Amino acid sequence: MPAGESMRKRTFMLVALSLILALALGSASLAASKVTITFWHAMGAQLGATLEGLVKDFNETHPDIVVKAEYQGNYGALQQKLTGALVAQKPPTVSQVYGNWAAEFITSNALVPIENFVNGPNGMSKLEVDDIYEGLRKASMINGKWYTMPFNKSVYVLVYNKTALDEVGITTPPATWQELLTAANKLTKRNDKGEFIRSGIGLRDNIDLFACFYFASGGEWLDKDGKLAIGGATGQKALQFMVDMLNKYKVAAYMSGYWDADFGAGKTAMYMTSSPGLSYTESAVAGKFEWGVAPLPASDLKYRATPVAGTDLAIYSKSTKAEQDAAWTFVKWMVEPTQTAKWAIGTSYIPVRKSALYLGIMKEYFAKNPKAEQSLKQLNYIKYDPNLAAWNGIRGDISTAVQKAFLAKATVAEALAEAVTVGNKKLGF
Amino acid sequence: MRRHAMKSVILILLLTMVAPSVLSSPEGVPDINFYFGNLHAHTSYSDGMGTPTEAYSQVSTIGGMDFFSLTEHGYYFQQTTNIHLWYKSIQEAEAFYVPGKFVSLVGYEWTHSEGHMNGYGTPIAASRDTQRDFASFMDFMHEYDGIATFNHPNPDIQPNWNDFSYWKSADDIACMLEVGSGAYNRNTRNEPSYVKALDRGWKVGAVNNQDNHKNDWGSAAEVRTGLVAKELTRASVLEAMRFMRTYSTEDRNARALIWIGDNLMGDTITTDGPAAGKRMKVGILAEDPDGDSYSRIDLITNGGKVAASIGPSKGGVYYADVELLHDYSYFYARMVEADGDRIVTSPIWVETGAGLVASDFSVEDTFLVKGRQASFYARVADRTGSMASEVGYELYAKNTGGYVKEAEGSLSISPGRWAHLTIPFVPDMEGAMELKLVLSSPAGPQSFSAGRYEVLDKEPMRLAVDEGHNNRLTSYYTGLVDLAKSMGYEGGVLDGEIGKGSLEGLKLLVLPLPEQGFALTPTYYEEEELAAVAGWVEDGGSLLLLGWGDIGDGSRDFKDFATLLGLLEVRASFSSDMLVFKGANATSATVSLQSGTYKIAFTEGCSLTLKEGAAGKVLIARTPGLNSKTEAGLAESPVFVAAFERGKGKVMLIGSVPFSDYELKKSGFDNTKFTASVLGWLMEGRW
Repeated sequence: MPAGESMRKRTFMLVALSLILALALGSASLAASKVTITFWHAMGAQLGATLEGLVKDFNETHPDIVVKAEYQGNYGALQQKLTGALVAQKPPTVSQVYGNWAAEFITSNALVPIENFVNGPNGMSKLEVDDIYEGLRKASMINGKWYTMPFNKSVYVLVYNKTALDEVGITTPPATWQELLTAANKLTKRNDKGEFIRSGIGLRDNIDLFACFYFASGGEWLDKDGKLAIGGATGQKALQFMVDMLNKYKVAAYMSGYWDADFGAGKTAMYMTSSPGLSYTESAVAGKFEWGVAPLPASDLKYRATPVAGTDLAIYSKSTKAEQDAAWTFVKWMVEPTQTAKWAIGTSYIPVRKSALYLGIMKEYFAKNPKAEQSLKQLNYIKYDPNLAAWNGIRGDISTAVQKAFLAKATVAEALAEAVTVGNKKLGF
Repeated sequence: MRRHAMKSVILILLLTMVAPSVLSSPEGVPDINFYFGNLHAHTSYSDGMGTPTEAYSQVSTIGGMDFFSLTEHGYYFQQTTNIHLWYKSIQEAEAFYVPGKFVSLVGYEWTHSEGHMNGYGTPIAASRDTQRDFASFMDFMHEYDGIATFNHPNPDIQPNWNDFSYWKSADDIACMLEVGSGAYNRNTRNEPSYVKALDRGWKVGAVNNQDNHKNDWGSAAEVRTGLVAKELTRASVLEAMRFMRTYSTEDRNARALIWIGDNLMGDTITTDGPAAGKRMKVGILAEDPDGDSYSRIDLITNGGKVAASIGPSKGGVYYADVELLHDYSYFYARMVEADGDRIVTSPIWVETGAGLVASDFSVEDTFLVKGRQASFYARVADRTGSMASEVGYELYAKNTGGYVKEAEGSLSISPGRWAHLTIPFVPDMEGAMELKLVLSSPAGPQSFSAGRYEVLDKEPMRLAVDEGHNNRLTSYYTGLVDLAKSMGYEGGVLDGEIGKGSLEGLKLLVLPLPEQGFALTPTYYEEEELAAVAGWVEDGGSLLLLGWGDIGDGSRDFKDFATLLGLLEVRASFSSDMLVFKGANATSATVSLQSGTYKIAFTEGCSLTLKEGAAGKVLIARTPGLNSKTEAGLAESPVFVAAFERGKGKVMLIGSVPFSDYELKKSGFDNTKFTASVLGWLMEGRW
């Protein structure tokens, strides 16, 4: 080979090698600029599958961010793990939180207020902010500051067996308590031992079901002084109505768990559930009969209301700035109209953006699933829990009052009075 | 060898105490080893704390536990991010398993609104998300031949699988029931649920588990599941669980065992021919290595009844000679230590093998009256799973002579399930009556002793509470009916229009005030109804009207009471006011009747207004210390009780309800005595 040629070859090899090296090094440094964040959540089963789908979409469209979604169990377990993680100074970058957990976390400055990001360089415009339902934004405020982003929100609805209602001659779902009582009575079927073959309505012995009745008869959790207001005439009437349906009129049954399976099996003709429960209703009914969804009945139409529940997304201050920014990009993306629409379609949670209702996918979904729109009809009447650290414990006290009243271990007045005493103490009174 | 003093024994048949040799094998006691552990616990792999490694390490180090199982909530293991944790748990358990020293197990908890169950012995975990009802969970368990426990069977928190309604397919899987559960502030005692399950045909053994949700495995409480086996290996522990060689103990090392011949707790003895009438000798071992003594040891049989009993003792080996009353019988021992700790063993069953179980015997009538039709009730379960034909039944009654057949018929039971059995019959004897139920199926007859009942020679006096007009506290008068029964009166409720027919034979009619508002029934009385009541009072009936304090919303309206009192010319009425004490609604009052002074509890009471010259007055009782509050202001010492004689009858007014189930259950008050006194006057004219 001529000397010049091998020289050129060698140079070519050298250049090629250094190019390859540079590329390798270059992509290594590109990889180094990827930010990984952890997202702790409590979305299991079908809800978890939808969430993981969205996270995958985000990761694929945001190559510089890796979101690791980690299921922590149910909400109780998630709260426990977050509390433990904060003590150990190893919280995730972002997680689901209930407002009352957030109220506790901010006492140690564990969260970065979401409004900092909303108003920051990669923020949201006024139009975008106004596009989030006002009631949901208000529910995410603590001491006047916007701390967390509404994420998986649900409202309570009445589910009814339309086939059964038709059979007993009821053409529209009950809208008032008297209509509910009359319907439940007509729908109740018993064997000759007096046992239920089908109860008119299925209740649960917890605060959320109590809220369905209390809110829809004019009740508010707190009075103007910030004390529990449930012990007055409105609270007593609401709880007494539930107790009466069980024990006096005997048109209702209750359990602590979920009614979808029994409803699908025809063991109860109506029940109340939060909107994501509807996907379970669908699989439980499996086409055996026609069923429908309606807004919650109210003691009187002027008192129409529904509890809104569910968690927000919160960003933790222990994370680095790069991680926080990446988390904000993720949070902002999750509540964009397309994503919140996909989330609502996959889970029956309500979309948090008003404009989501106008997206093609949402309109198509409602056309195929008219039931899903019923939840949204109530969005002007939502009532929500106060964001106080003590509220989590107080929820338990109120549920205890409901259980005692259902078991006739105390009168409605006594049970609520006890909850008020214990709860007000937790509020500092 | 001394016999224990007879006076300390409450109920015995024949008991012989054998020399108590505490630690080595006493005469007659089966040669077996005792092990202690916990079969229900969580870590952070579900909703608890820490890791399996920490849990197994802790319990095997602090001692007192020979076996230990984790039972994470199954649904955690089905999340795609968490599936590996099931396998990791098994790995972590393996590192601690030392045959002969410590057995580590991995199970899971299937959580469902019917009740929670632990599963063991299956290669993967079940979960409420995949096995969404009891039937699917049982299918899963059958597929893998697993075993399961009924967890924390407290009827206040869960329906207990439809109150332990029998189902053979599940009975083949469930082999344990948590007679004690939870490590919380105090372990919950669930023995009544154990008895119910056993009565209704389930064959389950007794266990006691801590359900740890914190890192307090082994240290949360002294309670343990006790287990007998020949050796300590994974296989032998799982076998002991499956074959019910377990017991529930609140004392961490107390030994308990029962046996009949070679059969240990968990076994079924199938008799040749009838079991009822046979005698069995049941061996009982009760001993605490720490020397704790026992305040009583009972042998319990069907219905939770005590078949034999031993009073205070130092522990040891006992033999109880018992006679079987049923062709399907169970016996288990309950031992109570002097410090209060309870130990409950698994049962031994003695049966003919025909496979039907009758339970829940009762007569549905408040009173049995000679010559009056009555209704006998029982539940019947099919343990064979293959009851293809109808089951025949015969009901026998015995008084002073022998058993006489009263009724017969047949019923269908779904194979492997259960059915209600209602038998109408007419008792033709008076005094003590013993009933016997005989069931006949292709596998042979089975007889059950069905209880002892009192038959009256004449109809008792009757009272009724109106619940047909949306009356206050409807459905809460069962305590009143019980109180009336104890006084020899037959109580009931009226639920339709009141007329001559519904009033016939009644001595007392109680009308709680109808509530205006949400209702399914009329909230007002028709003219004809009030006229019928008035006429009935004049002919000798007693009427009791109950008032209600006013809250200003129109729900309490005394219009009909006023009309009725007018018809009866009783010059008293209810006031639309509220009884108050120191500014708040009064919740108690001191009231004096002819029979004495009573402190009674009530809620939302009103006062009574008396008119001048009220004739036939028998009693006016005021409540000093209380006020009645109206828009006009406060009035002192309001009248709360008033009673009159009208025609041949009596009328009493009380400003509230003193005897609903809420008031009668309150301690520290005289509502029961007050009610008894009032009933005595209204029913029989005596104070």
